[in-house]
Amino acid sequence: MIEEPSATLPSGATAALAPPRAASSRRTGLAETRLSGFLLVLALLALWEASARLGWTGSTNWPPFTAVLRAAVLGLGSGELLAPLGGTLARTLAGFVAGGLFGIVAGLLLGASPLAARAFNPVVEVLRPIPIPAIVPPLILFLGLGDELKIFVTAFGTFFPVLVNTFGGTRDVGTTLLQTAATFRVGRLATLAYVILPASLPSILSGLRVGLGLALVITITAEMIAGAGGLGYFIVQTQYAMRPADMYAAVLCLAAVGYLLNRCFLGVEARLIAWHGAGHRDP
Amino acid sequence: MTVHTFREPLMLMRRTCRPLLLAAVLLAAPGLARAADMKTLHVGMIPTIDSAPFYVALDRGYFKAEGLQIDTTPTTGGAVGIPAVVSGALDIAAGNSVSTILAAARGLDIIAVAPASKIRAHDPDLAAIVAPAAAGIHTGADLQGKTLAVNTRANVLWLYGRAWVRKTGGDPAKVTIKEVPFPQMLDALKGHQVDAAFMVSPFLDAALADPAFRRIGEPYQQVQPGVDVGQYEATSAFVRAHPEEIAAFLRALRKGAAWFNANRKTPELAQIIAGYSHLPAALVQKMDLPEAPMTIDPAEIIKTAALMQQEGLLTAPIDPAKVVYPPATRP
Repeated sequence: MIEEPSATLPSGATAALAPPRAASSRRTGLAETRLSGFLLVLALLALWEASARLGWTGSTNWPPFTAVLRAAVLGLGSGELLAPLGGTLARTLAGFVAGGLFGIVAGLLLGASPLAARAFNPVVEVLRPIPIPAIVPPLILFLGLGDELKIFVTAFGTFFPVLVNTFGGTRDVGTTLLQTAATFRVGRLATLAYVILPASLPSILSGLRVGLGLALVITITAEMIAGAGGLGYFIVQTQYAMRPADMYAAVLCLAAVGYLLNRCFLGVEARLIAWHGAGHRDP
Repeated sequence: MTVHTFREPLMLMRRTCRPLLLAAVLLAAPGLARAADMKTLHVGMIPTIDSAPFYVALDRGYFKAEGLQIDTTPTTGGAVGIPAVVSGALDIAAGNSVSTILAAARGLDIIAVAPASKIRAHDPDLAAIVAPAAAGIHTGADLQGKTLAVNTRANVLWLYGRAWVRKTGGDPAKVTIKEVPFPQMLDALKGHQVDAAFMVSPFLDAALADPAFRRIGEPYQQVQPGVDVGQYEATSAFVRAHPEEIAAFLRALRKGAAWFNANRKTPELAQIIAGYSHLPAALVQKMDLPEAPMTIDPAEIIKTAALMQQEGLLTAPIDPAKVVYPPATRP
């Protein structure tokens, strides 16, 4: 990866110069892709409505989209959907923050110490692919059925993508940067905090973004398996109560929450590493 | 010194507050005084129709009358309930005889402390194998080379489904058993992903409402009429440590079962069931619910264990005295 040091360092000057040009060219590009994406979503929803209204599936578990929308509005209004949504969001964010912080710290430490990297990489590679649904029942033994369990598995699932990306980011920090820091006799800790951390920020953020998507999925999965509360439990409950419209209303809310979380994250990312985005996304 | 100065204001507060508190307690309703020595039980529940007697007892205040405060947590069954009971996250969990026996056989300290549900020997059962009416499947022999859906592998429906195939002339080894959640079974049948499905109410009723499907067998009734399917489980350590609470739980639950049995066709019961299961009350009202059991029958537990041995879930017979809380077997 060949990069100009000025493009990788969070320099106020480059950040201030680059955005106007980047923003204008990005806006037209986004408008085009968003419109076509939006049209595709509309077409799929129309297909959903038609398939349910005309009985193409022959299933009572396939309500029309308008019925789902109605259930969503009623559920959000009555709080039946809003309360579990809030619970799910709180657990997702708690697990994400915990897993993300531990992932960044562990990734930086592994990046800073080749010995630690050699020692811990096998453990990471063994633990990383463990599917969450498989570990929930045994974890109930230690953590019970409450929030501790769900936040822990969410943090566990978030931790690994953040760790791996942070570690990868530290590996990609240009030797020029490190040598410059060494030349100026910057200490190890200061190098880590002021050179390695900012330079690996794009990788860390992409790890966090993957982690955020996973966090929501894992929280829902854990809620489906254990305990009361949250959208995961609501989805299972409405399935067993033969209320498919309410179930899909919850799924719809999840899709909206997932989309909004991602957009919020992109907003934060654009602010944190404007210098990086400007350097890379410009055609 | 710091400890002393920290405690002093507290002591002072307690000394002045105590008479006031005492007065308040004496003046308050007797119910409040009793709330102070209420014991809390954390109970893991499967919010299905089988759990109705428990929710009747809860709704009608039978647990409260026994001095028990009940804190319920929904679980999906033994896979979640048993680890939660063993860890102490739950004191009691609803489960079935197969998971109780399996847990005990694996050395877990699990015993059944109260009855939950029993299959009646007569009248259509609320659990049945359903197949397309046009498929020509009538027996276990017809199911050979075909696919049967059950909710969970190596659990109670799986066991009785296999035993039914054997009983009606088939070889269970030649039947592919697929795991399909209850809400998706009818769709799996309609989509020809399975040839038959072992369903329970209300999903069974929904399937039978469609003339394209019919019940081909009632495995519980045909294999072991009167089987004790559901129980409440706890660890024997908990039972030893809290004998009064467990006895009170059993008494309250029996009062719930008695009310349930006397009011099986009433709208009040339908309302209670609709309340916790979120099923439409009209649908519940239409169901012909079986009587709730008052005791656990050790003979039925032995039969279930023998069946588990026959189908390869158990290697040795079990001692029912070790898996059932003795007072639950006596009326």
